[in-house]
Amino acid sequence: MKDTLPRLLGVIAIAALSNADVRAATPIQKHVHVATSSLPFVVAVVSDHYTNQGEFDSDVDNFFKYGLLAHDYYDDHAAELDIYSFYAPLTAGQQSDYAFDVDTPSQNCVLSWSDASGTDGTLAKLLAVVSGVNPDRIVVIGDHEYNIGCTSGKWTYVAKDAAGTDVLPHEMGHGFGGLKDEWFFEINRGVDHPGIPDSETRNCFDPRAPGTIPPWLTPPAAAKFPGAGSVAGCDFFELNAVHPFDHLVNGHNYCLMGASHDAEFCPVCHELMTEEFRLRDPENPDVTNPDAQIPAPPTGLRIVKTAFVQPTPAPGTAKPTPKGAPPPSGVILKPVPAKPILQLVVAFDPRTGKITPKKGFSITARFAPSHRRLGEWAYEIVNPTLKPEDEIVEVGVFPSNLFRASSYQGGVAHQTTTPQTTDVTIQIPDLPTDFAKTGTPPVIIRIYRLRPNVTDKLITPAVFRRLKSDGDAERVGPDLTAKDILGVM
Amino acid sequence: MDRSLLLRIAGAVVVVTMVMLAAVWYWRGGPGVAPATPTTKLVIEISGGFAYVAPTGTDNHLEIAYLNDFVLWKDANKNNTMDPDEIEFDDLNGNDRRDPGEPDMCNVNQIGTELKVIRGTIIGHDPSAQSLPASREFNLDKAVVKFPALEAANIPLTIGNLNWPPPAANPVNPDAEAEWVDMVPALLKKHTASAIDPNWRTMVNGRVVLPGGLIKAAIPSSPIFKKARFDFKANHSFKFKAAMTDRTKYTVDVPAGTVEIQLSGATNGFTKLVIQPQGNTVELSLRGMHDLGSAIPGDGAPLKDFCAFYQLMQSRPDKKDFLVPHYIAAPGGTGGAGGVPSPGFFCPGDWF
Repeated sequence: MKDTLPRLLGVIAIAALSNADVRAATPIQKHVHVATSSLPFVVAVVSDHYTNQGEFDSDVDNFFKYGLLAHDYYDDHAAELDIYSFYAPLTAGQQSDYAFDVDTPSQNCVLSWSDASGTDGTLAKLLAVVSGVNPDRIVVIGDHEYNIGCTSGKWTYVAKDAAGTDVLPHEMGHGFGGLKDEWFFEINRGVDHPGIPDSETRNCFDPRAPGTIPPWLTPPAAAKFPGAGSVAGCDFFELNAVHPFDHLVNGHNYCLMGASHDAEFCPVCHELMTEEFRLRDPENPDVTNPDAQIPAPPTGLRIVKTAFVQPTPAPGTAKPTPKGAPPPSGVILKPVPAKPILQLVVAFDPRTGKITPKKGFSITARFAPSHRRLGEWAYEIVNPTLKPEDEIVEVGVFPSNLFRASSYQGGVAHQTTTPQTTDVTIQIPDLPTDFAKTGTPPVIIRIYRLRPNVTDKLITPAVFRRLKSDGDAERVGPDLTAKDILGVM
Repeated sequence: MDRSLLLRIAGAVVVVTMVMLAAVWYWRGGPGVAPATPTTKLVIEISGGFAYVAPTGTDNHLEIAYLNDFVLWKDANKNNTMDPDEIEFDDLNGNDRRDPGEPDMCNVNQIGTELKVIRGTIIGHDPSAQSLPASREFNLDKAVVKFPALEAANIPLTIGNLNWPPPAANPVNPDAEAEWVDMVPALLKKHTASAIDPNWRTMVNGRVVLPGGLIKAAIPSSPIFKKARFDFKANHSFKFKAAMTDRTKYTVDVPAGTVEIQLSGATNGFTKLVIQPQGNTVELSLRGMHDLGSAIPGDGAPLKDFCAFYQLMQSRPDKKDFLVPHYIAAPGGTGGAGGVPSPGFFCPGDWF
């Protein structure tokens, strides 16, 4: 018995440890919803503060299968959403493995996070887990019995009691569509909005410039939005910031970007969101923009127009898919092929235009350009070893709304803050996987501030060349060099 | 084989047989007891402005009611119709006349109540031809919700605590759930001359009926309210200060292998749902939705929709005695707008 008892205790201890509640070396990844479009939005769902995988998997179902994908708007775009989950149990002694603190408000949000350098910052910690799928959005589900949400840049945080509410669909309005909150604080009643530049106008409009009217009331757009008007109060201020629809119109409860529960997107927000999904339509991302970039087709496939379609439908059976609509049921489009990408986390200071590298990840994944402009910031990635006409290898944007967090707890939120340094990501496509060793090609990243009159929807390489030659894009801040990047690889 | 060995073997066989029979008898629950009934743990997370109606006497039925729209008005001309000038207003300057900027005393627009399956699988429903919502979320408009297995079980009802209002300093540790047990308001404790209207069941939109089980208040649905307090004012005069929560949690062991939910009168058309537990648990969420309009009150602002509970009171207090909670943000530490609440969002219930 003297020997048996310790052995028995050892066996019990091993069984207990192997059961759960210890930090897994590698997060458990699941492909929880498979997109059928060729260039879907990829959403990575990450566990935070969980110690039970079954609970997390159930909550992922509640937020997505029975939540976002069952939502009146998002279910129409299920084919364009590719969703992965990543589970890792909470490290013993930690409150969060990603430096979230749900009990301490910060900046604009009800919760706080870390912008620390290197791998200690929240975004870098998240990308260390999910970068393999190169997500467009990261949704962190916190195992806390709160009904709260917050979006900052690439990530959205929701606590588990927000499942089954409007919180995640609302946050995705910020995340996918760059939409603003359509309400104001009582303390801002009678207070002027500090100003919304035309280049940041989405669902909120600043009517102060003489002779201007909101874009949703401007022909020909106005014909698409019967009943739209200029309703006072948007982006946290009552005055000089208007949104398109009152919240109860003809039996509709508008808008999901407002503060009421159980609301739907108003027609203007609906259109702006659908435009975002349309940008991922490789056949024609934006008919209003002739320079729109089309992803290169994969090899070995028959090309119909410029879409990647398989199989060929029988003659006379094919029906055209409406613009922006998901592919018909049963049709799976070949995914855009993976390519080597360097995903770089940088801290961007919008006051100076300076970018400071924090962490780089070499990945091989599908590349989705970041061309949709919102605000005034763009960047170009230059390979000076190429011929002058080819040396700009990619351009991208930092949406200006990244520099203010958006919080929603079924209505509770935040005030406008001054711009602040925020972690963002830059994707450098076609960078050889040995870049971390060789530092070649010697790429350079340059930041540009676009003039306020620039309202092009997409900043493609062709558009960017025109803006530079017209003097509408001003270079700011120091270049980021390959040497700088190597320092964080 | 000698005789003693045979006797020993026979004895051993008898002993083993008896032990096995005793084990079977014990396992089956002893003499005259039927096999144990399977039980399912039912958990309901409740958040929003519900009227919690406690039973009286030996009754064990807790009822959670969702309210109708409510406008406070006085039928001055006795025509049984609410005319615009009959709407009661907040007479801010006390001149007995409605001036511009003086709001309705109580005008609450209800959006609805939703029941969502959080844990468990819906394995049956009536009418079976009606499609289940993909969200597993059911609008409870006009519905009376019952759990037949509980009706027959005669389980005692335990209510966490009804000592309201709590001392202003409580909860001392807002992270301790036990300190929130008496943090759901109970207006009748402050209006002792009033009572719940005996016809209240006909005055509400619908209700969930829970015979037996345990209900207790829980930590608020947002961390910003954990450290906040509410100043209760009547006619704009401070009366007392207390913390409040908008969440409660109900738990019960249902004597069945599944949880059957019966709905009557529901606008959604469903009359029955049968839910198979996940593990041994079925978890539901009951949420009151709210029409928040477009302005979100800040520090010091009233939770103006809280007045809706006065509609259920018989011998209703005068409007100047209505208790209106005003949000008081926690000093320091709220930062940015994280400390700005919304009355619609933060919508506590009330015990009757």
